[in-house]
Amino acid sequence: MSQRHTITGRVLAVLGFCCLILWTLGTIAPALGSLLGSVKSQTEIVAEPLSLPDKFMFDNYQRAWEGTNLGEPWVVFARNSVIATATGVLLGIGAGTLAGYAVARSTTRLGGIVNRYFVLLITLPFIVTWVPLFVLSDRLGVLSNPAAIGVMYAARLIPFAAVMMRAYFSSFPMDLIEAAQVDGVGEFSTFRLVVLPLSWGAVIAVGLINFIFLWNELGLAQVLLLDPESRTLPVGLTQFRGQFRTDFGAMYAALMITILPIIVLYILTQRKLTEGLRVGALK
Amino acid sequence: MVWLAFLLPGISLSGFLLLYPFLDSLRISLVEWTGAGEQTFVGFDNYADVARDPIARLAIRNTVVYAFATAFGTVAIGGAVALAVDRKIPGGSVFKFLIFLPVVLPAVFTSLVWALALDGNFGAINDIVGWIHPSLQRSWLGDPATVNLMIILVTVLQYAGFPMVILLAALKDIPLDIHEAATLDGVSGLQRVLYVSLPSIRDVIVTVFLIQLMFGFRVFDQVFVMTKGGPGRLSEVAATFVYREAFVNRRFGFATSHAVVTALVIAIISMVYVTIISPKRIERAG
Repeated sequence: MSQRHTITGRVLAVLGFCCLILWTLGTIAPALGSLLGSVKSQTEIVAEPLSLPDKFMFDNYQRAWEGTNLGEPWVVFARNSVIATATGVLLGIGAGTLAGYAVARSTTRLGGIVNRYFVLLITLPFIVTWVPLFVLSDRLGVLSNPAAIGVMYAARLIPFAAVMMRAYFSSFPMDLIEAAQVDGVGEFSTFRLVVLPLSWGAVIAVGLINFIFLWNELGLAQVLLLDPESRTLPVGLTQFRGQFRTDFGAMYAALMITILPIIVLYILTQRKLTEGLRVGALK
Repeated sequence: MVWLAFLLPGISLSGFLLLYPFLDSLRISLVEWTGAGEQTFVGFDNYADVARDPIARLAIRNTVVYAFATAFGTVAIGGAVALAVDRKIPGGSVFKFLIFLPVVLPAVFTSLVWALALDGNFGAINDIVGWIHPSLQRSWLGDPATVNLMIILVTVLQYAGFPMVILLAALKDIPLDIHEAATLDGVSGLQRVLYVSLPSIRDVIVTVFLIQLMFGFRVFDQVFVMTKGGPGRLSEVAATFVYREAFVNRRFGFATSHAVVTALVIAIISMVYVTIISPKRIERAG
């Protein structure tokens, strides 16, 4: 702390603090700007983009939701996002948790091999799967199907979920499991009645992170969801690029509809989310 | 054998929709195909085309530069903020909350809003730099001199919060008596950062840099939304290149071989990074 007492030290500290404030403003500018734009009138957005609104225009949200001036109703994209993300998270976390548990409990070489298989899949860049998954979806007749892309999302989550849950289950108290098995309870019942009830916290933390990944996913959705009515929110957003917009208010409202669920989730679960990320990153 | 039942859903689903597509991509990379009609086996011709195509090479180079620049930027700035918050600056938890917020938002969203702000004709950024001097105004994403820098900057602004959270937790794990001993020995604040804090969290820095690198290698959203690879094809990255060649130009074999080459480049760089920087980590992961 001694340098704080010198004049240069103090000036540097104040300067650094100002930089921090500027940087923070920069990071939240997109969300803040969209929030402002979503409640302003068209003339205000064009004439004074950085000012506070004179009058709150909540009907921007109604036009976005119903799709007036935007082409597709935003409610359709929101529904598709919910279908794809929910399918992906429930199926992916479910299958991943089961696999992670089996790997953690396994005493044979099988566990190690399966773990290596999942680690290999984690490092696989998704772009190599774009063309094959497009071809496969085409053959199965599930292009432009949000539920089908949800199943592919699940496949993507499984390796992550399995590796993270394996790390969690490795430190699960074995005596609880052994006690149940002495009483003659089978592996499935042990998992369902003893292990799972104590592990919901970890399952939800992993699910939360992966929910955010999927809600934000663009690449595969852009590749597979060709029909405008099948698009998820991120694909829907890309249409705002490169074409002349006449209704900025509705556009910003559409942006807010896309990010609000995540912001609410972040505010409600901030601690759990960052802790889950930290454990997931370092394991 | 009860474990097979536990493993079956996970292995079959990821095998069918992740491992099989990967193996299939190796096959598709050897054919010429528009996605409909005949597939013609052409051996390694597609790979030769990738090696010859200057845009294909530029796309991979841009991806690598982007990955290292964003990893360096996010870890450096996230680390600086973490050090500041760790030293109990006023409003520390507010900064932490706000800087992490964009990490959970869609990259499509952030990129879209910044693209509007960086627009040469109507963008808010030109209004702001105009207050300083009008000659600074430009089409930030249309100018070859600034386009790639802007894509990197927008990414760093969005994601610096991730290393910040990880590094902040690591800093809090440093035993307090180490700091006290250093203070008693008359070590100044800056020296303490350099000789106590940073070495203590070295492993965490190395890991979080690698994670950011992996995210960087997968870049698609930012470029697809902000520039579509332009101006010209100057900002093209591997994913936008593959997308365009496959789904716009209908060169499925060529696009897939580019994806495979990219995957190979990423694998080699990651292995070299892990081997050079952190021999300890491999043992642990292995």
